[in-house]
Amino acid sequence: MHIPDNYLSPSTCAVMFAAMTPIWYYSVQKVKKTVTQDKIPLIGIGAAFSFMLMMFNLPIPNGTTAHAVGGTLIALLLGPYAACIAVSVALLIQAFIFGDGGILSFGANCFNMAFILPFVGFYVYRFLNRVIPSKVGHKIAILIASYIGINVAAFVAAVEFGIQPLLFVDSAGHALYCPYPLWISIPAMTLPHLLFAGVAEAVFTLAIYEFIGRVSPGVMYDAGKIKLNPLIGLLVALICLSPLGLLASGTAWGEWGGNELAADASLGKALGYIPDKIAHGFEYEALFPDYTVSGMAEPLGYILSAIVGAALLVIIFKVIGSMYHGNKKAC
Amino acid sequence: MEIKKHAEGAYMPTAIPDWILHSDTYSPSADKEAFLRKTIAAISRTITFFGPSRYQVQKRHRGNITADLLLLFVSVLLIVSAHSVVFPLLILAIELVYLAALDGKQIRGIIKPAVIAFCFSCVLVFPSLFLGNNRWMELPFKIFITVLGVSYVSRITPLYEISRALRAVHIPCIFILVWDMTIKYIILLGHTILHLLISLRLRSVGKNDHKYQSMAAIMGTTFLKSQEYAKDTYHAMVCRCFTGTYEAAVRQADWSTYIMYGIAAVLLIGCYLFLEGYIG
Repeated sequence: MHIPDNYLSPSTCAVMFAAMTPIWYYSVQKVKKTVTQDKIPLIGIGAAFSFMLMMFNLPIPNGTTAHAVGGTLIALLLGPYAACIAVSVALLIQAFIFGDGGILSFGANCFNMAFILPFVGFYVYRFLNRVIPSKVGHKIAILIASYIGINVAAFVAAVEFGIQPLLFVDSAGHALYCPYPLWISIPAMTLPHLLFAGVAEAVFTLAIYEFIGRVSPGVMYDAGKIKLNPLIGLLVALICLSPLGLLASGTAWGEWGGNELAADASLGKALGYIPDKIAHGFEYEALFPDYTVSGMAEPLGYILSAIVGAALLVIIFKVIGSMYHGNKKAC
Repeated sequence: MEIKKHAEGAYMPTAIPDWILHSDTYSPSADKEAFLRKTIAAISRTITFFGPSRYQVQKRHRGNITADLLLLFVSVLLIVSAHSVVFPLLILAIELVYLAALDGKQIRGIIKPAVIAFCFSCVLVFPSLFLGNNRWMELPFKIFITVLGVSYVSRITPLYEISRALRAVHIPCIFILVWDMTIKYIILLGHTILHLLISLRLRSVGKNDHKYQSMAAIMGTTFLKSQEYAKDTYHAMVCRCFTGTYEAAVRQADWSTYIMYGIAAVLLIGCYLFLEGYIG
């Protein structure tokens, strides 16, 4: 679901960025009012969880991959506004340090994964929790909410992809940016999420939510104790297991390089050309491109990337928490 | 005012004096004291950095300071001599993990000097880009990692432990004496100046345009105080039969700690040799 650079036109990227700006501003204001100082580092740990979940690529039968995001999980634990900030920072780290998701399309990626996903997941959960007010109903609500959240986000991303060839073509009729119209992009994006990534998101969300509820209930309730060690332990376990994400060798749909795109047969036959702006567009050289380190074996590079990414996110939110002058304690 | 002589001979007023019935309308005029405020804040920061409170905020160091310093020295040497950025990246990952375990305030204190050093070296190295040096960011990156490591070790290590560790690695006693005295005098003289500045601030009621003139007096008093402190230190040294020779206290050998540091050093060097292509 990470839209790379040059798949969306600069004008689309600008619109998405403009749409996200007030959301970020409002989220920061809400977090200042509602999240207590001692819970700010938890946003970092939530962001690190999201970052790690996005590294677990799932193989899809058509040769592409998909991954969970964990946005609904953070929304359930800390609220949708905190989730918006956490996933946005995770996406920022991914874009700038790991080259996963574009720099120009950062606003669009945040709109899909940091806004649509956690907010839809959170409000669907709230609705279902009222409809089925029982322990089992609570678990079902988590499963369904996280499943719907990621699928709506994938649908919105598909629409962003799909409107590009309708709006931007050259004189020969070739697409300048993403070449797939809505009737291809929507099923191509939503089917893998409906069948695989959605299920993974739901299972991960419920499993981690239940785990945190047992070992550190203070994360969810103001009265309980916040124990960071079990959360850090789970994070370390995810880091150690992260090379499993390499088992899925393909590239996620819509995240190809130019040559992969030219050979892709989503249209029924190979596309046969590289869209002009993808071939000659904006390029950014990341420090760890695609979570690899040149000169280091791929699994080791993947683990190193996971450590750097997760540690950076925890550090960033700890530093923000130390400069935070909002709520000192829960009311 | 009517005054009657009391039976015991003392004179007692029979009416309240007029002046006491009037409310005091004195309001001191606004005064500029930014320099005083800033100086007091700067000195307080310095004392907090060097003073005993520094020891209290940090966690108790569980390892061996001497081994820490040696490990830091080895890692700095390896980072500097690395031809590619892979090994420095590995060290960066380790440093980030250590940093992530600290609280936000400590992290800020550790990162700050590293960022300053990084920016400064960027400014120095940037012109080489115009001479065709495409790897111009490598040097600032290495500097960032080394300063981050040094900053981390210095922050988590109490200053008195550093003195001990310096002696254990056979640094000359005179150097350690100067180091020790400097730190103690920064704290002592810092407190003296702080008290003088606070008293100057409290005594300056209303507008006082002559505060700057007091600075010379403060510095002079501080100098005289330093003479007193020096004499006191000398007498204290004589009383304790201290000749300026530091003996590193030999602790009972904690072999598990030494083995852990040994494994860490071997791993570090092994990773360096492997990633630089010397082995494997």
